[in-house]
Amino acid sequence: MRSASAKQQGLTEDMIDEGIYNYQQSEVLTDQEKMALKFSDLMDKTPNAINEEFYEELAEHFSIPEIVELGAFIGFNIGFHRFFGTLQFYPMFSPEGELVDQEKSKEAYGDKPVSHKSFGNAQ
Amino acid sequence: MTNHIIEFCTLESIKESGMQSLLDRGVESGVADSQFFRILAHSPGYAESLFDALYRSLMDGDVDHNLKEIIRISLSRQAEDTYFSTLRSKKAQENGLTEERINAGCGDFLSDNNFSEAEKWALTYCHSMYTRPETINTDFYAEGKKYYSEAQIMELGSLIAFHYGMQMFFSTLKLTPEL
Amino acid sequence: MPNISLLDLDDLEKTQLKPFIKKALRNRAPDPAFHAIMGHNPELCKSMYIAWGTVFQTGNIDHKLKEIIRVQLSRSVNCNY
Repeated sequence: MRSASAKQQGLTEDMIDEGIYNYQQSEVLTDQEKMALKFSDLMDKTPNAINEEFYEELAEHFSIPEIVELGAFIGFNIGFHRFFGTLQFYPMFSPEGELVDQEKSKEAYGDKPVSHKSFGNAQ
Repeated sequence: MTNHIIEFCTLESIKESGMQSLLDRGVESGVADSQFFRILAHSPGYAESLFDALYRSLMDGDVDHNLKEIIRISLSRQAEDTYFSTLRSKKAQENGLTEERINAGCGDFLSDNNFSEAEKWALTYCHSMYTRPETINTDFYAEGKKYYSEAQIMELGSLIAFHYGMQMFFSTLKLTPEL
Repeated sequence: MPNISLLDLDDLEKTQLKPFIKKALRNRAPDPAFHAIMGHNPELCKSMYIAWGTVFQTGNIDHKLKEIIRVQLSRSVNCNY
């Protein structure tokens, strides 16, 4: 699944892949974006590394309301993606934007979530 | 930064935002205290919608509330969250849930004859979701369907997902509830 | 296939989830599978959907950045949805 509004705002699969696989070394992402991705990565994998010092570093890039917004967003997604992953269900819209059943959706998206660059004319 | 990792919104601002009744509900039920609101209120709309999800997933539904409370606390201990792990549902306490039973549910529940097979499944669901997710598979869900309807399984899963997510965020804030 | 059944959207449109499903189908976002699987408990589904919409679609953080984070976290745990 991809956010239609994010796409409309210009988000591409290349940008998504850059943010996921290369955010620390990226020459494309801003320092602010890198910090947000680091916050997410740490909360997901090593939450004990998020300490007062980390929040102070975060505060150099984000306001307190933005930090709260990010923290809540990341927490929500950590919780739900794990749960949803165990349910083994797929989007109802194919990459081409058609309503499909779960079998066809699984064929289209594959066994594991990957970059949509591999989907050719995906919308 | 102040004494708290994230500065609290004032109680006056909570009241002015119209959230006092939600805060009161949180405190009366034991689901959340003012700190939950004073943190999330920094971002408009966040405290209200997240509290609603927090409250409903724990307090409403078909699955036994005491079991859900044990699950909530078990998750918070997994998340090493000092805030939610210290809170206690008043409803569960009134229903006779003791600290002993909570600790049993957070411990070696599989060997404990005081838990039914259905409860053991639900506690395993909670315990394994974020520690051994590869075991939450088709066979596991098939086992669960012997004890619970799909609606009840989704009720449990949503509780686990939402509360754990909030606990992960709050664990980084190093809060303890107000007395 | 899915470990919990996905409910029929036509049936769910007879519940309080109707406006959310209609919007999802019209905009093709968010994917209506969320409602199809969470709809086993309509009240809870509505509450979680509103919470999700709040954290994802409101606030100051750039929405594209949130989408990158969302996909990052979903790939981390092999969430196919």
